[in-house]
Amino acid sequence: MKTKLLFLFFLFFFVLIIFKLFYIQIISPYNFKYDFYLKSKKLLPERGKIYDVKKQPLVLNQNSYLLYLEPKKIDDKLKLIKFLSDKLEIPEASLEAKIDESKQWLAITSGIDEEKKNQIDKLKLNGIGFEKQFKRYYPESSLSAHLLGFVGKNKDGENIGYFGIEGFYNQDLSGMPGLLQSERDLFGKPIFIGVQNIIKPENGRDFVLTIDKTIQEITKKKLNEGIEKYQAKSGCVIIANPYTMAILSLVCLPDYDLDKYYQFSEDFFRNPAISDVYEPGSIFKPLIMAIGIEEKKIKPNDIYNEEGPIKIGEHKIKTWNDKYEGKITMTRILEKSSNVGMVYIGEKLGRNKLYDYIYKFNFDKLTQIDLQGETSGFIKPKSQWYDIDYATVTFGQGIAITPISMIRAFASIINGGYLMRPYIVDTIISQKEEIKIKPKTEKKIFSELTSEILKKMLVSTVENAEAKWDRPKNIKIGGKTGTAQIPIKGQYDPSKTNASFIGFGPADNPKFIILVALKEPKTSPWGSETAAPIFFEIVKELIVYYGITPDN
Amino acid sequence: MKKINFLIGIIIFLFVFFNLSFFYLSIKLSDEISFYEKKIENIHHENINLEKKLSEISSLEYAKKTASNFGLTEKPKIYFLENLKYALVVKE
Repeated sequence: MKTKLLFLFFLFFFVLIIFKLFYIQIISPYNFKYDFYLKSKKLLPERGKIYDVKKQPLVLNQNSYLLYLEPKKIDDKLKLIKFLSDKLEIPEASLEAKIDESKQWLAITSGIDEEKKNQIDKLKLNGIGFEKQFKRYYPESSLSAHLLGFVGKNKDGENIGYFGIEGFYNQDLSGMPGLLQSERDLFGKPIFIGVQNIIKPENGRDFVLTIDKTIQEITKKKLNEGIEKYQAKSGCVIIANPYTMAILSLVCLPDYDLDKYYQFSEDFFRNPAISDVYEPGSIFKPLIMAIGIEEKKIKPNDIYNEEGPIKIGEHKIKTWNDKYEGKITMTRILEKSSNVGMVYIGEKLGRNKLYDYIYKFNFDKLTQIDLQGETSGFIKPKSQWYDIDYATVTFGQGIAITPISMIRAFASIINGGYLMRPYIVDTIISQKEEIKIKPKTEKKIFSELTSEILKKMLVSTVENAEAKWDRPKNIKIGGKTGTAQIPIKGQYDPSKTNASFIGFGPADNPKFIILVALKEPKTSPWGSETAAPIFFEIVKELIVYYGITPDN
Repeated sequence: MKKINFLIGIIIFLFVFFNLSFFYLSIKLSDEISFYEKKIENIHHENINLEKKLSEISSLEYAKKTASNFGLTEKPKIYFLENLKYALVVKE
């Protein structure tokens, strides 16, 4: 009897279980999905890192956390708000407004570093949790702010690069997220015989730049000192390898803090070296000289009679100091930066040739440098050119170009005549392969002979310059000063100039070409007194860095 | 008949035994998988921290700070001696 009772007892529960299973699986199956235990987790890829040419890190990832709250688990709301407000520097009122007690989960703030996270954890308050994320880390701080750009958020809250390398190569740097589908029990442990699928994330590609961080540091220091000394509004320095147009350094000031980019206005994010156009002034003259020599209209020792100002229509073109030396060579025209001499060369070339060559330099097109935010220069259509335009373009006024296109064009007159595409990325490294970026030749503009002639003329320009610079001894440096008046509302303001200097060295086999451009220096408007000294300061450091020995 | 019942009993016992063992091992394996998942995540986390520390130490910024702490960033001062107390005495 007892056995039968025991049997019936177990049978009853057994039947109950069967009925329940029948109900769950057949009667109302939608409440209990077959994939109830299937958990999907997005596997975040790591954003690609950025290194300098010597594989020294410029941008890495660091651990950061998203702080979230579970309002229903909070014990002491006031204490929590006060503590978090103090640690996170968020006003208490904002925090209180965010906490909606009807919600299960609330994101409060992201980008919290390890130290802060540990401090918050120590208090062991209920209702606080952290989600692991990544954040960018800049070991060299803002050494290369305009070059690198920053990582912000798009309207969906996803990470996206803006400006510079981060913006241009955002897709490559982002990588592809993965997916983990795993059947898990209530404790989060995998159910061994269940579904286990994984699509591995593809981390973002790493980039090795052509930038040398030591040269970048030298450049930034000298430019900063120069801007302070000459009280300029802003300034840019670009250093490149003239044969390949690999950019060795690019600094524009003022710049911004990459870690706190959100505290700066958008004006700071623009890279003037690629995004702003300006009238180059006299640094444009060597290009016209090169065109004249290439077209065999002039030779370096040809004579021009510099008698006085030239009248073009109602305009008078004078030299910068209104002094005229009479019979001078073409080289001397460059040495004393004679505007009237340049007009003479322009007239010898003829309008068509002059215009065609200026177009050859692609000033009105993007250089396609791999930085986000590039602008092209502006050349008026030929039909809108007047007599005065053909004259002023010979000394770099009346044409608006970007600094990067200027240095590229200038490089073509010293590297054998090749217009190269400037580039910043040297190698792209993915999990599967390493892609080396090769220099790209856009076109050949000048012959080797013209290039050699111009190099000699430019060395003479530096050696016989009116201004005396602190030049490195026994090392041939070539270059040209430039002082361009800034047009304001159709008129040139004589007190405001773009002062620049462009040069290269060592002249026989140039290792570097440098463009220094200062906007509105106050101590002196002249490039020879502001930009040129900065150039030579940088050159002296580069000579030591590269171990360049004096010429025999 | 008794022998068959006995055999059936042993087979059932073995099935139950293997079922329970398999179940136990799968739970143990799940535990291990969970454990190693967390460990991998922690090691990855630590690697990122170490990479950050390493890059910090090898950075120019760190070199600048260290140089500044050692007073190596100051430009050398030039001292001019105006009143020489000692002079060479030339023997005639």
